[in-house]
Amino acid sequence: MHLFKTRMLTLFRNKIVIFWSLIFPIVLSTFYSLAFSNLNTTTIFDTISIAVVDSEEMNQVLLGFLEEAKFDEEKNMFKVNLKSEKEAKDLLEDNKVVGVISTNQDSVTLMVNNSGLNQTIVKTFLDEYLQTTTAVMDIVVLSGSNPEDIINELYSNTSYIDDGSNEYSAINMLLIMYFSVIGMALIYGGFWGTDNILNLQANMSTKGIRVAVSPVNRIKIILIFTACAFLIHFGIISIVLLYMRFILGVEFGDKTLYILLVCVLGSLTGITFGSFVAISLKKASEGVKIMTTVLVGVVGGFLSGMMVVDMKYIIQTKAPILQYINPVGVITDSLHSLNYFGATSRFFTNIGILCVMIIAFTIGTYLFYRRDSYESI
Amino acid sequence: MVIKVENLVKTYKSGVRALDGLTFQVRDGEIFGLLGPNGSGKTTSINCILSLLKYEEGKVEIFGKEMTPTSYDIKKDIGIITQNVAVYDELTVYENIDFFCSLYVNDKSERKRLVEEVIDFVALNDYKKFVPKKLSGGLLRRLHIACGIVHKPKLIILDEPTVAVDPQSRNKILEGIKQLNKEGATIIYTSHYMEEVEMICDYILIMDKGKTIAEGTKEELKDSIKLGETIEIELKEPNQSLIEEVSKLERVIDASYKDNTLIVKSLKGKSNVGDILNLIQVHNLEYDRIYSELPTLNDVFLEITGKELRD
Repeated sequence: MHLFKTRMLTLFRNKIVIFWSLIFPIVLSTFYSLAFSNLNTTTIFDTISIAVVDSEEMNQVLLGFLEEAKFDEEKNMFKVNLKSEKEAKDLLEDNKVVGVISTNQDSVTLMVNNSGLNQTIVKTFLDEYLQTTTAVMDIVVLSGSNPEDIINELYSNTSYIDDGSNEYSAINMLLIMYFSVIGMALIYGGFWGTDNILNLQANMSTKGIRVAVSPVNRIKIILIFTACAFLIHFGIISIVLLYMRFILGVEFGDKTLYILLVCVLGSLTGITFGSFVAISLKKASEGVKIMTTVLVGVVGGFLSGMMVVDMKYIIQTKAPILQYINPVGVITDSLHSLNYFGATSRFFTNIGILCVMIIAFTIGTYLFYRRDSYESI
Repeated sequence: MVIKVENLVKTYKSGVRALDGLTFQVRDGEIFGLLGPNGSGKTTSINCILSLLKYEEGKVEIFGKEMTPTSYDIKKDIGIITQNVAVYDELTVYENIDFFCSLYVNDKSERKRLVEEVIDFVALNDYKKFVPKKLSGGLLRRLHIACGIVHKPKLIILDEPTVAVDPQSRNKILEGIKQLNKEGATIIYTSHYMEEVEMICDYILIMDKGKTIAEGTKEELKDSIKLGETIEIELKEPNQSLIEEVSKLERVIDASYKDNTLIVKSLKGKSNVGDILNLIQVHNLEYDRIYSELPTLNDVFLEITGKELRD
């Protein structure tokens, strides 16, 4: 118990780590709040101009959905330009539309010139449409129902466009920035994990030699140190969340328990990541170990949209694997999907990925840590 | 025997053989000195003894039991003081000592008593609430030592504890080590400072390149070499014919100049000081100071290895 108390005290007084975990995210989120507070209303809600190739085989049902889709009660999601294929391509070439949709009864093709949020919205809309029509056809085959009735039923239930719960009607770029700051702050739990290892490994510090020569069980002491790191880091993250919610007025929605779940797992991911980095890069200096955590936090945050919101969508479309191996990205997407879709499979997939990361980093750390004697000190 | 080390062999991945069949024993209650130049294998020996380092061959027993990384019953009676200071910058003097004590002692009141005692012992009473950054080098070193001995270990291992320490603090540290020994602790003291080892150690092992090159009490070690006396005379002007005549004196094994100082080494037996002074008078030379020195551990090392301890 005394070890626990003293370790808590030590971590609590570690000013550098407190700065990166607490002060830096607060300063950054405050800066975002001051600099970008009207982002959500100025950029996102513009209607997206698209071209649809006018042909005899054109899918009229899809065309109807495209024309009726709305961001909110007043604003259409798309401005549809019915054009010939050549005219449509010319518009795309001149950047007058973000994409060209060619359809027939069997397939839908989207042509875009570059990546970005608007292109992603169009693509996701089409993906949703295709998934829905596939589901409808399956139901028709199995039940013999009228496809039109089913489609009407589906859309009346999901309220895809009108009820404000869908991704694009409520996208708030600033919120993505806040989420990526939280993701970064959670990964900065890595500092605490690194500090634990540096203080416990005899081949990394003289304090580690003292601990290694003492009669305290190694597994017991790393568990104590990790518990302390988690409690303090989670406490700090809670302060960051409270600051964002009550000082900056960030609306996280009503899914507090799920947000806390993300923070618990995010904090553990950060701490175990830092431990793994510290113990696996055994010959690297303390500075290199800390810099690795900083880089993963900052670069991971950047790839998750912390500095450029479009980056999150570029990664999703161009290099989706990065989305899954970037812990900041996974945390950001957890909060993002929770906020826009609720606790859906996307959210739980992210939660699962975080759990896998925690287990992988823990096993990796254990494999190095269990060695009681070293080759060199 | 407190420690029994047999035929220890340790080779680093780089291929450097740090220990090459090292064997020695440390008796209960003695101050055992491990003396050798930098890189001779002293710290590697300590790390192997403590099971911090893997070794290819050999055996280490402490308190009559084989030492392994999980020998917690042995570890509870060992205190380690490393060359580099090992304290937490975030904790005060008292909290640091208390933390390291809690690795050994669970009982709160017992711990408090031990912490107060060791603070008295290292005379840090006025600095209990200071953080390490506020302490001078000497005080910091005392804190470091306090953290290593607070649990009153039966065996204390000090690995070059006086490196980069001012002379005053060094003397206090050495006095403290003697005091701990008087109170019953067995001490292993590694150093490349022969004066320190000579001053406090009962038994000395001199090592080089991972091997024992000599061991015994300081008297035994000095008796084991041919050199009996080194005479140094500061002359106003060196004179070559003087050297030739001094070299012919009985028992003289070497005579040379270092700048204007005549250095004469002789075998054990009657001192040559009188004869050399006579020769200086014959040559009508002036001189300032004369030193006559009995063999040191450096001479022992030099005679066996052909190099200085601090090369």
